Amino acid sequence: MARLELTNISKVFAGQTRAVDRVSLTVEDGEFVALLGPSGCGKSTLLRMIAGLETLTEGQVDLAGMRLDTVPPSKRDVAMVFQNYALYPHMTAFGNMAYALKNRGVTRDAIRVRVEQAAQLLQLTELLDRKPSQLSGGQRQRVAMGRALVREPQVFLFDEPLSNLDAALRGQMRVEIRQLQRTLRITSVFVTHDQIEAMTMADRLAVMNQGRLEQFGTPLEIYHRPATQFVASFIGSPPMNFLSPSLLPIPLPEGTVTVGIRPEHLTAEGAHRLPAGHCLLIEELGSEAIVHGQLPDNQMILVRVAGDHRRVIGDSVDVGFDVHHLHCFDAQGLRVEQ
Amino acid sequence: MPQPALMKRVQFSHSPIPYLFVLPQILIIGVFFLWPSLEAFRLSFFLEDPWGLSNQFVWFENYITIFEDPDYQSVFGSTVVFSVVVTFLSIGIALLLAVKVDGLLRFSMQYRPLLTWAYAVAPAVAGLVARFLYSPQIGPLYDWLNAGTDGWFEPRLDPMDAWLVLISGSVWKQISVNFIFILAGLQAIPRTVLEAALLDNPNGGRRFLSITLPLLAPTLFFLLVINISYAVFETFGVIDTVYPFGPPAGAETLVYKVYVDGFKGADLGGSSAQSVILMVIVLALTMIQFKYIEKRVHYT
Repeated sequence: MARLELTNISKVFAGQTRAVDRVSLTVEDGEFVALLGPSGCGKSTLLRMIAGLETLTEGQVDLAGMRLDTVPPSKRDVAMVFQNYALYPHMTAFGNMAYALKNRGVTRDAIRVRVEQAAQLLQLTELLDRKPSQLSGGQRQRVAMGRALVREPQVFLFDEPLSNLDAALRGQMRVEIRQLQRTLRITSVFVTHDQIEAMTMADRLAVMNQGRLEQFGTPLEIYHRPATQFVASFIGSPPMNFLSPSLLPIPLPEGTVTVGIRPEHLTAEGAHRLPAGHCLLIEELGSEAIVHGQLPDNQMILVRVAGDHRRVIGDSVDVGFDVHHLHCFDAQGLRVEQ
Repeated sequence: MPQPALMKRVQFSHSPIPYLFVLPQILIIGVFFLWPSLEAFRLSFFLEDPWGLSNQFVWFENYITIFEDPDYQSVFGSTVVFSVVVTFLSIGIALLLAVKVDGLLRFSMQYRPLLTWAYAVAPAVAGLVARFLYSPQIGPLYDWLNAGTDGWFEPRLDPMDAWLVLISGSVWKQISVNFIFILAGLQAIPRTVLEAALLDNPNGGRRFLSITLPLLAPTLFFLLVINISYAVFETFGVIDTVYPFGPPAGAETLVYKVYVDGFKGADLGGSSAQSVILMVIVLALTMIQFKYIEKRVHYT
């Protein structure tokens, strides 16, 4: 039904480089897709083009088999949750949620029913008479969700909706949004620069860099088989180590100029050894620790170890790896299969 | 606990320096507002001879004379109409211009200074401009309005024509100030709120009325207060420069009448009483605005 197809979409702002460069991707009906990338990668622009807040320079957007990008934004049957919520400050929570319905000629009684249903779902019933200035950040977030929800749109668009919340609330809202989306089965596109948000919430995620789509796949596909060196470096915390092939004692596929290995895959038991180095710094996180090591050639590596590791600064770092954990990249930063 | 002691010191030791900072403002208000107001209030109870040599305390006789004067009543009425029209037009036109400039992506930087130029113009200069534009000898607007008629438009004789001159001069002068404030107000509205409205409401006009205008209300309310007092008081400068020898009968405002009766007619007591009435009216008007209109204004 509500299958969202983006075909070869580009956006060129006047006199600038391509903010979005020939992106094609398909969001299946009911699927939750996260657009992930560093700031300025074009992910928000892409979302705004789906919403109709930006025009397309090239390409086409289709929703449920119908051309979408020629339709004015208010007729798109697409609801958006903004980063700073963008609530109407002079209206109550009820007014905010009812506004779109009022303008679509829904009857007063039907509006009341739909708003109250949404309010109940979002635990806002007690707060419907309040104005945004009388609500906390999390409550405003819920009202913004409710405003999108009551429209019963075909597509939900989220533009970094959690970035203004504190860490605890963000974790909670993450779960709530995901559960809500699962229950309602509404096709959703979620923009974020936070990989944890993207990994935990999305069915599939699209990693973007400099306007281009680098990889589109499930979170685990992207973690285990990053298609480019950029994706490999962007996904995973602490980030992947990139080593020069000369440090590795094993034959590598032809064309390999960089070898990546994640900090959690460098272990004492690994079948193949890296040259021994020494420990420069240890970040203690309680359940685990991140050891910053220096190898010969001044090559820096990060190693993730268990919290009870008992290392001190200056100790030797002698770790090994298994071949199937290596990620090889060529001179263009593309993955080389082993 | 050192904190309470610190708080106490901050709260209770007074330094004279802050008072020194507000002193110039206090002095200006005292010398140019409070003292003349009190003097006017005092004089309004006296009947004075034109040379100021003798005066006689007459209780409320000056006020009674004013209220019984049909001339005063008609000037009062025309001042109300004039002020409402000037306020409405100067805010309305400025709002239209500001909305149009705010919606521009290109050339808005070029339009803005053009539209705000007149801000630097004093009311007297605005009056002078109006006087030239409508002058029977050299005025292009005079010629244009009279084109094809035999003297249809005579702002020196006909009070209605005179009102047209005075209103257009006063409005022209005030549009730029209002434009600056409204444009700043429009640009203070978060873009994302307008974008959210764009997704929620397909009708541009209704979007403006239901979202933009309410968010602009604090600015508009401020301008309403400012513009009414401008229309009542400051337009004196426009009137006096367009008509150095007085406008045609029936085209005066209350402030102009205070001036004519006091300084040309030498009726200091009556003129003072008029100015006291004027002061009370503006005070009441401002209080009404704050009490009833401000309630409906949403400040974010």
